[in-house]
Amino acid sequence: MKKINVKNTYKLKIAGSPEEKIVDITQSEEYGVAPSRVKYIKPKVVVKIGDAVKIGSRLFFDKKNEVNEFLSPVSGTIKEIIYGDKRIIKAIVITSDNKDEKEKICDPLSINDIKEKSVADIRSIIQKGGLWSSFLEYPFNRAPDKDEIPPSIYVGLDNDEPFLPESHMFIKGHESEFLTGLSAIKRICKKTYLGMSVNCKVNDPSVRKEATHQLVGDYPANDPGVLLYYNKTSSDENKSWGIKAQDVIRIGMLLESGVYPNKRLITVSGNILKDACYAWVQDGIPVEAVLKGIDDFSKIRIIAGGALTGQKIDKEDYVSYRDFALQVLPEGREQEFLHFFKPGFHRPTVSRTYMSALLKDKEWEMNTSLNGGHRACISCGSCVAVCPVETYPQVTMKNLNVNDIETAMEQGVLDCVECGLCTYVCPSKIELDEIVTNAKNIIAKEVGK
Amino acid sequence: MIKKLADFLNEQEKHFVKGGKFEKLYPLYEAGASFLFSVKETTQSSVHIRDSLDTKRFMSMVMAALTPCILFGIYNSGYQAHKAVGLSLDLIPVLLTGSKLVLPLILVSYAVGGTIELLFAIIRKHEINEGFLVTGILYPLTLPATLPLWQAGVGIAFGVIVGKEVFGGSGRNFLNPALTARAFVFFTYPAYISGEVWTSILKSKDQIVDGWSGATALAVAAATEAPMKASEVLTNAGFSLEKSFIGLIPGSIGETSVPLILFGAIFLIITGVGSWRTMIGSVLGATLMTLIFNLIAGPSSNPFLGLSPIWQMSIGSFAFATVFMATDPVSSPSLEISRFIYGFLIGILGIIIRVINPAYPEGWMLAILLMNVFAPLIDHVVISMKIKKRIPNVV
Repeated sequence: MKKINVKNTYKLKIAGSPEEKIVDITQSEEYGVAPSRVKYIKPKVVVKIGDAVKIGSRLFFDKKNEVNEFLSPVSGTIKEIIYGDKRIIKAIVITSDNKDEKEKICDPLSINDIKEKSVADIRSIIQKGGLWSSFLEYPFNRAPDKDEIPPSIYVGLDNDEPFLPESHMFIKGHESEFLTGLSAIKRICKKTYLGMSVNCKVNDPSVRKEATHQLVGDYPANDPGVLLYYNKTSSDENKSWGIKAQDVIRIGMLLESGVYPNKRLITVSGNILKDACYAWVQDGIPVEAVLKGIDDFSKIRIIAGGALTGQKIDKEDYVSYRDFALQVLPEGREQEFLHFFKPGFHRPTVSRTYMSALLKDKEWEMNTSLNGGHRACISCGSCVAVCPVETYPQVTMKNLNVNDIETAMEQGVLDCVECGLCTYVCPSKIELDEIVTNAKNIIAKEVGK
Repeated sequence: MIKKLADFLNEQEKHFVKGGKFEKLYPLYEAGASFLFSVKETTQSSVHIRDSLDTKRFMSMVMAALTPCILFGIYNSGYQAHKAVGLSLDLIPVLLTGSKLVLPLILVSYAVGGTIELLFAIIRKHEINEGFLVTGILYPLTLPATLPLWQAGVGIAFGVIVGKEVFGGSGRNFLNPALTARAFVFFTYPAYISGEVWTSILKSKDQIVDGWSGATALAVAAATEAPMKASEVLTNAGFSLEKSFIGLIPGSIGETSVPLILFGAIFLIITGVGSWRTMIGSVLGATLMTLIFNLIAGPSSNPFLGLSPIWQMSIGSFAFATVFMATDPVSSPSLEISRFIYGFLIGILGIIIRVINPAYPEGWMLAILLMNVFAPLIDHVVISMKIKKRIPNVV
């Protein structure tokens, strides 16, 4: 196993991490899926109001990439299709019939069966099983095209962004599905790399021995894109795919059972929750059903995903296809008098400009405050110091401001894994990740992705 | 009470935002409100949480590092003025005189420069950047206490407009605005900023005490003639190494005390606000160049060449320029390695200008301004070299 020291990472120490206990939250009358929350797709809905659907029935697909399908997490009838501004499809609401009828996608397959299946069959099962979007094709982070052959696939076992589920929690009891999923991925391409954190708490030797790389570093060292950056030897590998271990388990579940895996383990976390823990939830469950015991939703922000990269959602939203965490943060609208004159023992910072820098192991109660006003870049270099793929966000940002995309690409803008650390540290509160992501989207459009 | 003030300010915000009565004065409101209270603005989408460091804190760290120099500058200006005419050297009267000399300069600098900042912020519709807090104090600290106030005002106006705003304002200026302002005064009113201007003469000329000379250590060193040794001449003229280091000597307001500047340097390095690479680079560059000069110094050559590095670093404005001027992040190169190269070249150039060029008594202002111009080039070269090591990822 190769050891990789990931440079420029940062450990985010936020209070409110979930306890290591698992509860079940699956009961609700209504479920929903939100096409608008799946990034970079043009959804085409294939169901009408009143249609009966089963678990695994096709609900919508991506017009730009038709193999990228999205399936129903429950059986029941379509109650409503909610459109938002510019006719984006905000939600498809399904009334559950509590029957759990399942659409059969393939015969149940064991690891040995998979070895005999053709590559095309395996790809088609994953596509029909609605899990094609688990793969992200670099450098544009979109689901791969139908016939795209990846040079290699990078699997990230661990999560280090707060508070995505920890690997030992979601692997426990699902080792066989993980290995099945992994074997299917190995069939799809010649080279598969599995990166594991040095701090990984997974004990199962059969899982551990699959790891090809050990990653040293904090967030976002375990991002598959980071592993790609440190492992690649030629530019041919830039179009590799990445996938997270929880999606590998879901692929394994699909193959082993032959039906769509409609349950997932998420974390429900946040300092203001009394009961932050792990939860098995049914896909598409309303967020309100998961976040119990919150009186006032106006003063909090609900984030689906990590504290940096997650999406901001409402309590009316649903647990969606890419969500493995729900967390609540207080909206930081409180004002402090003459804050920049004070020692700042309670102000977490990457820098050493507040006394908080002395408190090494403290977990900080964070909120959504911008912690400063929008200012011009002062070239302080904070962003360069936290870029795990060694780009120069402040320099690239200035190139992009004058639309010099060529130079930005030379400087490695396409290596960016969109971890958001540069934006997190910026004292001028410049949305560096947004600027970079926008540029990547422009490039993606030009090359037809 | 504080809560009421916050509510009052938030109440007034509606007049300054778009559609309000004083919409145009939003930068003024924002500057005032965000000075008193941390912002209530939240993140819009990802990234949902943010680091606590903002530019206000960043710049106030520089202010904190400068405070000892400011206080000492006030004291020393008064001290020199009193000493020249034989007045009492007690703390209080000296401080009073010093304040009378220095505070008006600081006030003029902030008032004139701040007004221009505000005007440009209103025209460009952006917030006032905190960088001016630092520029506005660095500039007076580089001046002689005797400079007429109107000249100081014209200088900072030039520095802010030409050194910064014409290039797009804070963050886009490639020159250090404080040094641009000083350079303007230096070249426009040379009689007021070089020669025997460093001490304010409080009484008429004939009351000057015996043995007082208005020259600075640099002038003395430069005027030394072979075969005398510069260090001996300096010591005899009252600029012993110890005295030059401590700083109770004539000079620009803030530049004289090396220990207090060192305190600032350590503070900036600990907080990470000033680049230690720039500082170390500059010290190494200056040492190297001085040693080279020491080597070529012969019995008949310019005795200034033979002055040892420790002397060179104690006299003049080397320490102040290295710690506070060269480390300005905006006009420095942006990568750490380039910052080292940049500092190193400043060190070399500064000593060359100081020692060799008789037209300029001191070298750091010009060395830093010149390297400011080269900073983008250094960055370009460093980035190009680093890019070569990357596996290309282009489409």
